[in-house]
Amino acid sequence: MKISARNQLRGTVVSVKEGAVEAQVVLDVGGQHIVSVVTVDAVKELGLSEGSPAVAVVKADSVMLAVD
Amino acid sequence: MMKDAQAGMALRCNGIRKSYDKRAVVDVAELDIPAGETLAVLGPSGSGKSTLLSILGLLEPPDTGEVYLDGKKVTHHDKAARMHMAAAFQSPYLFKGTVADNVAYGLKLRRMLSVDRRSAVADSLDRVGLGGWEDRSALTLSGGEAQRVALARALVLRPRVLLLDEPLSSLDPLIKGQLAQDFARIIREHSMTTLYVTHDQNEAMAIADRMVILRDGVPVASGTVDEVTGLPPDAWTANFLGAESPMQGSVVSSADGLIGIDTGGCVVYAGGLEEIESRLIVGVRPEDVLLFEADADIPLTTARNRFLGTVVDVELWGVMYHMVIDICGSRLASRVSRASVRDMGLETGSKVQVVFKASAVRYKRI
Repeated sequence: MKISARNQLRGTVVSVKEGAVEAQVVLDVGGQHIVSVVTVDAVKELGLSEGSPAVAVVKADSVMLAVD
Repeated sequence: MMKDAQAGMALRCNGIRKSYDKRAVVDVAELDIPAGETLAVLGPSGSGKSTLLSILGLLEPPDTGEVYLDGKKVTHHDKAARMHMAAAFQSPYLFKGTVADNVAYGLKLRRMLSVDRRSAVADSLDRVGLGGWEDRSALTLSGGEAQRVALARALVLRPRVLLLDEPLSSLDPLIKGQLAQDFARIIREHSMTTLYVTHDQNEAMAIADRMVILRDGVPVASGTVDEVTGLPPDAWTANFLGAESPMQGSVVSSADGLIGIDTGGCVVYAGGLEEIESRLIVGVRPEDVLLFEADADIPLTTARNRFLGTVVDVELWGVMYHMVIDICGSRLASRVSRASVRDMGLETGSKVQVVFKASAVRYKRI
């Protein structure tokens, strides 16, 4: 499947915190964590919970870089 | 760097009108720049933005209307108010002599002692990245260096309101980009209230907190930079900003903080609370729009919006492609890397699946 996003990071959900409308989902990708904010509706539809495999899709121009 | 002891002053105006030869060039009901904020005034040539700057900077009087500095009504006769302001223009207007002579000019007029002038000039040149340039001849400077000197000449007066009228517009794009970043940093470090006139939205986005767009002297859009560029209110403003016109639609569903907006065949989902049948304009930032191949079997994703569309326009903007996709008769833009365009073989006429999150959708009631 070809997609315009340059970054597709496979990982495992380590936590899901649901608010009234949105949920914060934390994904472990090779020992690093990436956080996504999605609708609660989407969490239900995808059945996301701790331990679920998931892919973080990030467009290249959304990535900010910094140096130590 | 430490902030100036004297931080920015709030600048506000009401009912400003100005005509030349019976032609109205500025008609601004209200404009407010909170203390320490930077407002960019954008518009094409002849839209009245420089005249508005002159009026707010007390350089010329309006035909009608008032200007307020920290809540106090002021006019162009008010010398004390004008002493709080400093300006830099498209042409730096440097005179023959050294860089230091030019930067110190306003201090001389204010009768500052010579010894104090030297230290103030050195400090100001440091701020703009020209430390130690005092003895250089002003007339041998490049365009970018001359604009830094013009900014130093304004900053040395320790203004509480800084007026910048297209200071970078005559520079080449590379220098302009670097200087815009530097100007933004300097303005932020010193908490000055700044009015920045430009016709370049990239400069405005780099420098300003808020922006207002003038058309024939009248504001047609205002808000944070993100609000105005993310959802231009009408086709003219969108065209001026190089964006797509907003879609229009009606709310057809609203549950759990998610609304569905029928834009004429497609229902776009956005985060929010609106009543059914509310009329909205709708936009999506190109940076947030993902493209998949038309026949890709997309797995479940958290993105609430997924449509089949056709690429109708492909343009290279800098290092990224700006692609316009027709979905249900509406035009939606996506910023796509060159690598993705090549890998997916995208061109005008390509069919694609368009995917974006509900949180990427901006809307406003009409």
